[in-house]
Amino acid sequence: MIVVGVDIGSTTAKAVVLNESATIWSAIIPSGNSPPSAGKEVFALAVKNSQHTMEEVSYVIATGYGRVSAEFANKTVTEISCHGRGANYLNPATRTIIDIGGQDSKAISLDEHGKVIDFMINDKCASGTGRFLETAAELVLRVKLQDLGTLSAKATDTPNISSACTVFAQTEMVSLLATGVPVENLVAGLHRAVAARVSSMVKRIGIKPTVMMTGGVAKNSGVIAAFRKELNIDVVVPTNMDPQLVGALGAALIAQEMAKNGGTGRV
Amino acid sequence: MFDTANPTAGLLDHLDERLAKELALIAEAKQKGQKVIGYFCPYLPEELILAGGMLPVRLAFGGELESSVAGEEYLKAYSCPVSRSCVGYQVTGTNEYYNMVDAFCVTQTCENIKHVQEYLEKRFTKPVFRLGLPRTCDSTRSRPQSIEYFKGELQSLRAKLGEFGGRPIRDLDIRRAITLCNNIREKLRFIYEYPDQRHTLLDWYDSFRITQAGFLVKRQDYLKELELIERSIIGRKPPVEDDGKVRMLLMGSMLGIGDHKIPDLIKETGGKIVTDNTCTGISNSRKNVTVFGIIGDTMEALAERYLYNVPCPCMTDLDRRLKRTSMIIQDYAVEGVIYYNLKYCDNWRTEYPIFKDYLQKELKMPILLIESDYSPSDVGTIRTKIEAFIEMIRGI
Repeated sequence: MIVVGVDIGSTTAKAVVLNESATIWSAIIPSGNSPPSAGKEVFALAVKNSQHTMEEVSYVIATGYGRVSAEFANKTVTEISCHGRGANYLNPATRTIIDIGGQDSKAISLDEHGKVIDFMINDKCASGTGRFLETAAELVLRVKLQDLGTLSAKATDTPNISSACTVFAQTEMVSLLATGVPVENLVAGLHRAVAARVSSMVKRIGIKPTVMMTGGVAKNSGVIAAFRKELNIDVVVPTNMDPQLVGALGAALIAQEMAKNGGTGRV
Repeated sequence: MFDTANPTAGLLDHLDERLAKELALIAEAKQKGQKVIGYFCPYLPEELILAGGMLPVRLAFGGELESSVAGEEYLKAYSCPVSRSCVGYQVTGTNEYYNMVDAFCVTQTCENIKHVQEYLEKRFTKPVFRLGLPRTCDSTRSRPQSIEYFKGELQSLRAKLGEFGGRPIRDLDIRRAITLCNNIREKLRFIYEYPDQRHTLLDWYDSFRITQAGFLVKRQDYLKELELIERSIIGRKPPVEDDGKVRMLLMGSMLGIGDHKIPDLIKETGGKIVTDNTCTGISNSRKNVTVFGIIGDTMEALAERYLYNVPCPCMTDLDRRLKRTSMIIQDYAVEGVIYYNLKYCDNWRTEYPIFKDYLQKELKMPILLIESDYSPSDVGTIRTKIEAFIEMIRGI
């Protein structure tokens, strides 16, 4: 039995294909300007990667903000439940999830069975999201997004970027650059600003170990380091899987259970 | 004639038709010299307006972006959307009910509504009668003093309304108005709880519509409408089977007439509101005004009823509201609480962590904070939040 989880985010669309023996295939593509077609595309691509055919797929769950337009899905489930399920599967000791995606950040609290018991979504502004790092890296610091982690490791000092607003934080960085602050120090400051912003939300739902970070921003080792410092607790990232795929993996796992239950029953 | 599959079909048609005629009827009454008194908060005893032979209209409108933005011309952009709309309707002139008002009665509750009063008076030069309110505390020491003060304020409002209406307000007229309003409250309670709180024939969305119609429709006629609804539901059996939807309590900021973004999203995502604890909902019919016999003090009776019945965080004890909330949760077998916070309605927002702690720890009750305003921009994320909340309660 083949099932698929499709996570259509604001920046990227992700899909995970699962078979009975829990072998995982995946695909990631940019969402572009049409999340509905990106969802369809990444779904087909992941199935192709798995060497299976579309006809073999017995159940599909769509998640992410583009889930509403995923007509190919048997059911839609929110990102919250999917990240919870995915993180629990990858590391059953997970009690707290920090997920930073392209346009929002989430904090999820799990109980010992992996059930979601509380969550928060920051949707007020772009600070503390992937977009914040992306615009700062590309428009102000002129460095590549994927280099932020290695750059911040070389920092000799961490300047304070105090503004919570993406636009004003950039203004602040421009002034710091003008005073001669090296780029790598600014990147470290940027990471600390993101970690501080998101940590205040995580603290509201309570931090219980193990803390796992998921989403695209979890690929940035500098942000992970900043979170460890800010929360004063170890923060882990999935070791055997791209952290960006955790939501799609959770969707696939839920799809597997639903398919077993005949596609209707509650788990 | 009676559709068993949909037992409530058409039940509110008559009321809706009446509501559609309301503006024309008010205009007609005004032509004959009757005065229209507009007010906002449920701390204001309508009985005084009715006793003075005037028409009370509760201007609890909400959900309209245009007026809330128009209000920014005077109020701060970070004043709550309710207050911005109150002023905004004066700017836009698009709300016909506001346009009918001859004088406003404004209770001195939160800072926002106080500013509304100031602008109505100073900038829009409307007659405004203020009603002072004591911050209430449940201690036995302060209660008599609070009642005494509020009674004095009611006396003074009674005098001003009498003067404005052209005749002093007699005690007999107040008694009659109390009887009318009590009858309305009793009918509303009957309709909501027929036959019991868990299996009502009308869902919350219907009862909310019925309640809010009562803010506008001429009260004597409104009572007749309620009697009509009551007569047509007696004998009908509500559906008792569980529809599987998550039973929600909606509490928090004012949910005005027209502000249905959150209730709609709850419905769309597979939840259902079974009751509310807001100042525009069921609390309005909760308690009668009790005058003791023919020598009983009507003003004291009004003060007692009105001072301790509104779930407003800026006026009342937190402990009282926590207790009330847990009672509602038990009575209605609530499975999840949606805590609605209109942006910049500071009192509700500030108290949220306490409510959350109390509900989660003491009652093991899931609670979700929704902060919103009258703009449609956040519909997507709010939908995700409510969906995730339902998944959390039910399991996926």
